Amino acid sequence: MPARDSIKALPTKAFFVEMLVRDIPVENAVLDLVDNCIDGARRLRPEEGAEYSGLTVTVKFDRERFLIEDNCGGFDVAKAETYAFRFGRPSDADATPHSIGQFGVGMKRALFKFGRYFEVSSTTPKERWSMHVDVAEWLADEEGWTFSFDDVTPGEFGPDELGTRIEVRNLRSEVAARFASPRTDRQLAEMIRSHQGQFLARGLRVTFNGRELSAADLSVRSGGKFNPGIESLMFDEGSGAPVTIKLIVGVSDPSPAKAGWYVVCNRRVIVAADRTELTGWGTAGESRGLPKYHNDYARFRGVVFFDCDDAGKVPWNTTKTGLDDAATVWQQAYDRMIEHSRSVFEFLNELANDVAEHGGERSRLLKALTDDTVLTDVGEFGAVDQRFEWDKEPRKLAPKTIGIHYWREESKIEALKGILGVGSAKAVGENSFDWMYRTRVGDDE
Amino acid sequence: MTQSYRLVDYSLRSGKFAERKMLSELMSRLRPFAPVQEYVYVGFGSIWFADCVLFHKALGIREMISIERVLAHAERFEFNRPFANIDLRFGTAAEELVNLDWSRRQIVWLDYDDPLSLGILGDLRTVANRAGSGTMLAVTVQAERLFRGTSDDDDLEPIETPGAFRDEFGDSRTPADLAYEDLTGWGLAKTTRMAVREEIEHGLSRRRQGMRDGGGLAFRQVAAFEYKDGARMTTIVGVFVNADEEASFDACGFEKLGYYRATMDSVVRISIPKLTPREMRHLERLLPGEPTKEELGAIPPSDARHYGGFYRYLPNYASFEP
Repeated sequence: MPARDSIKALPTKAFFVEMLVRDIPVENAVLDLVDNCIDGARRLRPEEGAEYSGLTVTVKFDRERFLIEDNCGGFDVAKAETYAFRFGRPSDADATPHSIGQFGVGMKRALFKFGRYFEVSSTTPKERWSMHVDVAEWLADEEGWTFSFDDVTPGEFGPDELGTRIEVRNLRSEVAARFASPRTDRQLAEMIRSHQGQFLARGLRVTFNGRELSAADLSVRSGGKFNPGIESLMFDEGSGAPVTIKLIVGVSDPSPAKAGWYVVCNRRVIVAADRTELTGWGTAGESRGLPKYHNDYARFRGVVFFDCDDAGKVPWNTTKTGLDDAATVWQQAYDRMIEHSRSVFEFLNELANDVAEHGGERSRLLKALTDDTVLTDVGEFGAVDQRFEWDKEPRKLAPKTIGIHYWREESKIEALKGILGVGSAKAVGENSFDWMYRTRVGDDE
Repeated sequence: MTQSYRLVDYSLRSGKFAERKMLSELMSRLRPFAPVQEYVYVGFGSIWFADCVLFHKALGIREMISIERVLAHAERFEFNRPFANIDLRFGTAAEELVNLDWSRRQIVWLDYDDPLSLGILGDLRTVANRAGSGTMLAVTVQAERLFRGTSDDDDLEPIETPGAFRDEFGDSRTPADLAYEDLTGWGLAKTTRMAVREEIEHGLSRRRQGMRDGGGLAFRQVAAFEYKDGARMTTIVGVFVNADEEASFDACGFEKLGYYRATMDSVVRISIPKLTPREMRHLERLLPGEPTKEELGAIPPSDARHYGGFYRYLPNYASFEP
């Protein structure tokens, strides 16, 4: 019975979409989509502490398009109908345990946020489906709030075929500008890493604009005359499942919490920021190793990656939670780790000396390190071997200096302060040394 | 590393001079592995480049790398570089050794001015970890006195007791029966050589663990020297040999050289016999060979024997009295 005083309360679709996407930053929309992939991974491997090796999420974007693709199990037509593409999530929807995604809103919101055309396809063990939405067309149909499938194919699909692919084109101009910016690229890489670190650490692989996000949240300084030491080697090369070892050693910003060695086995971080004897610290005198850790070394960062198709050959313990330091493959890597570290310590000692001699403000070596380099994620370095390098120029120009420490009666120092017209004991020491040098050796400057 | 180039002209140190000549002769015997001209020579040429000069002129080695850590005088080193084919690399051995092309056959002479230290042992491990078959390694270390820590400090603490040695180098590197006399005089030279050898062996044994076919590299020592130009110095020379190149090593015939020393028990002490130029000229007319007592005349037989062992390697001195 159409009542004359009834008002059409349904919002227009265009208005609804604008409201939906208005408050979400582009970065968060990307994170939502990544969350969905990870939820898929968790549905696939629900056990506690599961390992995600073999599962991959690929994210790619530029001015033209956004693409996210995974092999994390896919989601079926029923799920797509009941909530992936339904506005608002039914309260009876079966949830992914400890889900991190917002399945109800996240996907649609992201897609509408990015652009005016999107395609979604997914394959589960029992079916494959796809859909596409031209947003302008969809908005033009005032009444229909549904999306229609292009194709639904029941069948039997193998593990290699499972997954979901989402592509958005015809990007909104502000989104296109963001996606074209290297800043967004860097920021998002960092956000995904920090949000999904635990999954990366458990073997999930995220390829982000062509590079792989590393499980170790680790950057080293690179640029100018500075670069990290990198070496790749193979272990058990002749066998069917060789272990590839890659190590990267360098310096970062001083952080006593982050300094040390990281060990990553099959993409899983099993040792982080280690400064114990396990990775050689404090064993220089014993077998062979590194000096004891102290704060001059707070810039030290080293990571060693072990990868092998045979999970029994990487040096983790049986529960895959710690390092098996008796493993031969570990010992092979260890010797190389120590070799590369030695150059880093040479540099850190020089840096400490330079700062001690000239002060942090005037240390030219520190300035070169800060000005000439940028923090670069360890995942971004290629496989080309190189040694650790640092800019020796600043140390080369300054003659070596040595500190002198001594104690004298306070009253005598006070007396000299007056005579020399200086205000500190340090200045008394320096001035009296200079005076002695001028009178007995001569001014050679 | 001390800046000994400021103190003494390397070419005038007769022990070192003789050592260099003998090293050159050892190197020339590497031919069964590869013509020595094709080897890369890696050394610490200092400002005199005496090693590079000799090995280039006597052996025809073309590719030479000289590692120099004294950055402050880089221009002076460049100025003194005797040939265009010496690649001067400014850095410490710790930095530079990692970066050498270890797939090449190399002759590496780690000719330290310093006494044994953890840093030197670290360098040796780098070489042992990376060297390929046919690569020759010579290690020269000062053996006058050991010190704790790095030599950059201005107040050095000497290591004079077995306990102090253990503290510095660790239990695993300290021989159970290390005695006071092993830390002083020629005793220290022997202790140093043993430590050098063991560090190389230890590195190689770890490396062998990683190999599937059980073969792998051995370090075949061919010479050991000690001498005292000022401070006592000692040197070990050897070749890394893969199991499948044993025949090449044997074909080098190092054992035919009078100063061949393959074990830890013996060493050649290079010293300059106290003979007058006239006596030396007299002896040289009788050498090589075994001069009789009659031929020697007034020359003491022990000095003569000694001279017979070294005369080919000693510098020629002449004095001018205008």
